[in-house]
Amino acid sequence: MLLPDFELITVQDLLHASKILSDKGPSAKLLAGGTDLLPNMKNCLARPETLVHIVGKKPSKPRLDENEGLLLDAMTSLKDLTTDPLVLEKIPSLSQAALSVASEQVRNMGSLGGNLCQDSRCLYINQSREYQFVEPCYKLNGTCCYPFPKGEPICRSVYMSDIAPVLVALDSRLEILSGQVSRWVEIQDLFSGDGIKPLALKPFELIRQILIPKKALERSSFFYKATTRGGLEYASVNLAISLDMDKNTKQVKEIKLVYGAIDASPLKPQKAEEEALGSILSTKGIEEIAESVQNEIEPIPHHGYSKTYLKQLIRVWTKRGLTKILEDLNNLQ
Amino acid sequence: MKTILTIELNGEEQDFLVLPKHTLLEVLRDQANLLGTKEGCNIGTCGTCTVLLDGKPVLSCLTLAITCQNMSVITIEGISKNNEMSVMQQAFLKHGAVQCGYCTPGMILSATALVDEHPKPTVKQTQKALEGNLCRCTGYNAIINAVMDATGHEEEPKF
Repeated sequence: MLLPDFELITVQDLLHASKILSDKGPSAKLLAGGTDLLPNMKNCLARPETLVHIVGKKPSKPRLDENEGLLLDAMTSLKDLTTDPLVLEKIPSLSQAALSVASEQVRNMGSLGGNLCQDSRCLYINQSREYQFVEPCYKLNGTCCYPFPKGEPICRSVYMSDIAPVLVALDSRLEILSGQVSRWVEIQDLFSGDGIKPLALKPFELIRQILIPKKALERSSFFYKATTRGGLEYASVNLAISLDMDKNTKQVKEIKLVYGAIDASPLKPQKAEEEALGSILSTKGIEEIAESVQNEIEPIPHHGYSKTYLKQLIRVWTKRGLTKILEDLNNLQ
Repeated sequence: MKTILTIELNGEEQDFLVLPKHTLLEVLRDQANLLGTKEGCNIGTCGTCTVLLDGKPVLSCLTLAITCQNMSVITIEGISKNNEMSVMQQAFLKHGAVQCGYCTPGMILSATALVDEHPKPTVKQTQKALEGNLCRCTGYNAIINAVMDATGHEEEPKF
C-alpha cells in the first residue's frame, strides 16, 4: 500500500502550524506522530492534501504548577509519558495508560495530542481497501452501516484512545489553539459523540497542552485496558477510576468512573457516580457500585465483543479497580 | 516536489531524493537497497519494518522519510560490525530464534533498543518491548531466551 500524493509543510512551532491549517482549510492536517493518520491514508479513509509537520521545537517536559496542577505538552511522546518521573509519581494511571498503547515503536512515534485526536474505528472500515465493502457506510458518506444493518441510521464506530478515559476521570482541561487564539476547554468538550466525526475540534484547531487540575492529582486513580492478546491491541473496553474517600470511614467523597472504546466518546455513568457518593467502600459497597455501572452503561458491541460480554467486563473491572484502590489506601495507612 | 533527504544511515551520511509521500521503508528498500528491513503489514501492526531512528525503535512504514532529515537511522545491516554479528544476532542464532526469518530484523532491532535502555531486562520487560513485533513461527519463547542469553541471564526463563 502506497501513500497518496500530498504536500508536506514543515514548520517550527505550533503557532505556525495553526496558521497554515487555518489558511489551507479542512484539506490540511497536522502530522502529530502519524500512527493513526498514515494507516488511514493508506486505507483511503483520510485524504488530506497537505500535512503539516512540526520540527525544531522539542516538547516541554511535564511540569507541576503549584496553583494549577500538572501541565502536559500535547506533543509529548507516549514513550516519555511512560518514563517521566513526575508523571509516574503524580498520576501513575496515566503512565499505565500510555504504556498500554500499541507497541514500543508506536509509543516512540505517537504523541499525547495525537492519541486524543485519533479517529474512531470499526471492524468494517479499518481494513485495507480490498476488504472494505463496495457501498460506502455512514462514515464514508454512504447510506448504510455494515455491523448494524438494521440499526438506527448512525455511525457506530468506537473511539479507542487509551489515554482519554484517564484524562476525563482526572477532570483535565485542554488548551486549544485556534488560529492565533487559544482557549481552555473541559476535556469532555473535545468529543462530539458522533462516530462519523468523533472530535468537536474545527479542522484548524490544535491541542497545545493539557492541564490535570491540582485537586484531581490528590485523588487515587486506576486504569485498566481489557484486551484479548495482552499487547499491541485495541481495547475491548478500557476504564479509568479516580476516587477520593475518607480514610477513616471509607466514605466516598468524590468518584469519577470513565469507560472508553465502547462508544464514539468515553462514557461516564453519571447516575452510578451520584449513587456512589457518600457510600461506604466495603466489599458490598464496591459490588453495588459495579452493578449499577453495569446497568447504566450501554456499550456498542464492537470488533466481535458482544454487548453482554462488554457489560460483564465493565462490572468485573470496576469491582477490581475499586478493590485495588481500597487495598492501596489500606496499605498506605 | 522531490527534496534532498540527508540521513546518517548505519553511520554513513547519505543523500536521497524523496517525495513527501515516500516512507522511510521505501527509501531504505528501493533507494538505499537495504533489503534487511522488511515490508509486512505496511500499516504499523507487525513490526517487521522496525528501524532505530536516533536510537529509538520506530516503524519505518509509518515514518515519512522527509521527517527524518539529519537524523540517524540504523537498520539490521548496521547492527553487525566488521562482518561480525552482534551479540544479539549471535544469541538469536544460538537459540533457534529464527525460523522463516521475516520478523527477525525487526525483533533484533527492538531487542537491541531494549538492551540500550535496560542492560539486563526481565522477561516481562522483554515481552513488553517486543510486543510490537509479530512472529508466526517461533512461538516467541526462543526469542525471549535469546534476549535473556544476550543480556547475561544464566538460567533459561520459565514461562
